Amino acid sequence: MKRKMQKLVAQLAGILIVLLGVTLLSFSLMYIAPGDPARTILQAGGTMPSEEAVQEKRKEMGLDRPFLEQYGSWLWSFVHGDLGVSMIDGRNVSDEVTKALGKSAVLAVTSLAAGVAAALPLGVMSAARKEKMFDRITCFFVFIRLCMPSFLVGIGFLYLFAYRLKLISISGSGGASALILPAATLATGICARMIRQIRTLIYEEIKHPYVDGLRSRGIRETQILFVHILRNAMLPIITMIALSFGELLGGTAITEIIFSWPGIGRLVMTAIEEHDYTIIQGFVVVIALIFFVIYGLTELSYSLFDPRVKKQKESSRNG
Amino acid sequence: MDRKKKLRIRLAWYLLLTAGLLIIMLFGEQLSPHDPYENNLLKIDQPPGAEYWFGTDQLGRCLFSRILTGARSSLSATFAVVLVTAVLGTAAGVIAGYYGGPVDRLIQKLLLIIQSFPGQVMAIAVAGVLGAGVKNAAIALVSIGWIPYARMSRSMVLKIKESNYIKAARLCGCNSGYIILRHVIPNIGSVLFVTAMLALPGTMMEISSLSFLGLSAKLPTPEWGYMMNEGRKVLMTAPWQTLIPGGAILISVIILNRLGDSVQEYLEYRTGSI
Repeated sequence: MKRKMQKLVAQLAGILIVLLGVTLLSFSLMYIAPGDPARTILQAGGTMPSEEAVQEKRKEMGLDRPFLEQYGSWLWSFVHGDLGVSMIDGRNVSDEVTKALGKSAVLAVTSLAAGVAAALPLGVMSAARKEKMFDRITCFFVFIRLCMPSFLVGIGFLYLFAYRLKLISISGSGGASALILPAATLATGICARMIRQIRTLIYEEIKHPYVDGLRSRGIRETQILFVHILRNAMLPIITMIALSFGELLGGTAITEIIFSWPGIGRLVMTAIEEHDYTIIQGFVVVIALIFFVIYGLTELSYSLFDPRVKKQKESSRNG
Repeated sequence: MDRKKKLRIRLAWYLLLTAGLLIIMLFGEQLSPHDPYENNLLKIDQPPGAEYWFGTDQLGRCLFSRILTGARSSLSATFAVVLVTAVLGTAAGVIAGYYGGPVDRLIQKLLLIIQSFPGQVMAIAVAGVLGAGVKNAAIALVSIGWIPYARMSRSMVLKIKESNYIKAARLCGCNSGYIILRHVIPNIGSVLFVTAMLALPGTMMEISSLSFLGLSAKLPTPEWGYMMNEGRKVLMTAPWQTLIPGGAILISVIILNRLGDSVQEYLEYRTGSI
């Protein structure tokens, strides 16, 4: 019991160190910017600022204090949910990030749901008909999609569905129809990646003797595939879904820009153009923390659901 | 035909295609029929035709020449990023695995910290803060790209560290640097080489994404991702300005992707398993 407690404390300390590192790295982003951030912001207006103006701005931004002190006060307010104010127009960064994050989450959840819904049957069928026509056609499309960066797919969809076929109007401001194309762009990407992994998983699972047992008992093939085999392969699939969600939250920037979706990606791209460092810091630290939590939870659920993982980990640590 | 021959032919075929890409990358500017930088306001937005094979852009510049010239920044950045990430990541992983102790713990923590940032977020933030430029985009990608190499080489080093040939080398009085270079690296090299080959297409997509966002190449240097961004404004009236650079990216990524796969399969077949 005592050893267990010690281990827990050590683990918590490890998590704390990583969290400190994550926040420190997010905070120091402003300091890798070439030149003086205060000057850059003032110059963005187009005029050459006077030396006094720069000094004043530095003081206003707190840049005249030592680095660790700045980091400390930033971290302190961050822990209290305050990410400071925008350097350009004084908007509250936490509010902006939360609002945009909500929009991105809508996009992410929609595309994740659509992608998974399509990938499950396609992946399972592909594995069941390995090397047959169905599998080959699926794999071909999966391969092509995986070779396309999302901006290429987005623009392709825009051209095809909005300009050529005129199926979707893109002039609309938000609403469900504005969601279709960006969600489809992201969904196809998730779908392609998941089909590949599901196909491999299911193909390995089909080889198990219990599948022959089910077959010999006369259970229908579809039931074997989608009930018995899929259930046994569900754990890695759930991990995949969780990780894709984390990736999606931060990875929608390009799609959001193409389709003018007012999410987190567009927020940060505008902030980059305006050198609005507080918003960039806020965005990075929030996404990193979400990703960290999702990552941690998936690992935890893994060892909870499957005790073998825990044992493996321990033995690999000792070995 | 036996499997080995098949794999070999396929590998040769994709090596040939990659060589083609490399030739365009190196000599694209010389091969261009027109000056890729020359504006010609009399011939703006011309569709693909006999004189301008791929048409012209909003400034009347020859798109075919710009695609050929743009290969340099698009492809060379890809190769450079993959090379640097592989070398840096392997160095970090080997040092962590071989020396262990506090160095290992430090590098492990660093890995965990950087791993907490999803790749695209980090790349966009770093490239954005550093300012536009191919070098800055490359730095952004390297800063996250070294992680997998470090993890892999660390775990492989941990495995072979206790093997007899390393012990023998140590007994013979070889110093650590010599053992790492002569015994450790050659043993883990092929796996890392395959990893690097497989990373090529993804890196190419990331770089073109960054330049699509305007975070990589600076004007007026042609770059495929950025050309798509420029052409996007006239997608309705002059779709070739966007679709042709997109096709160039797609074809290059496909070639690099298949190259990585065939290298992996060939080496796996030759060594039994990797």
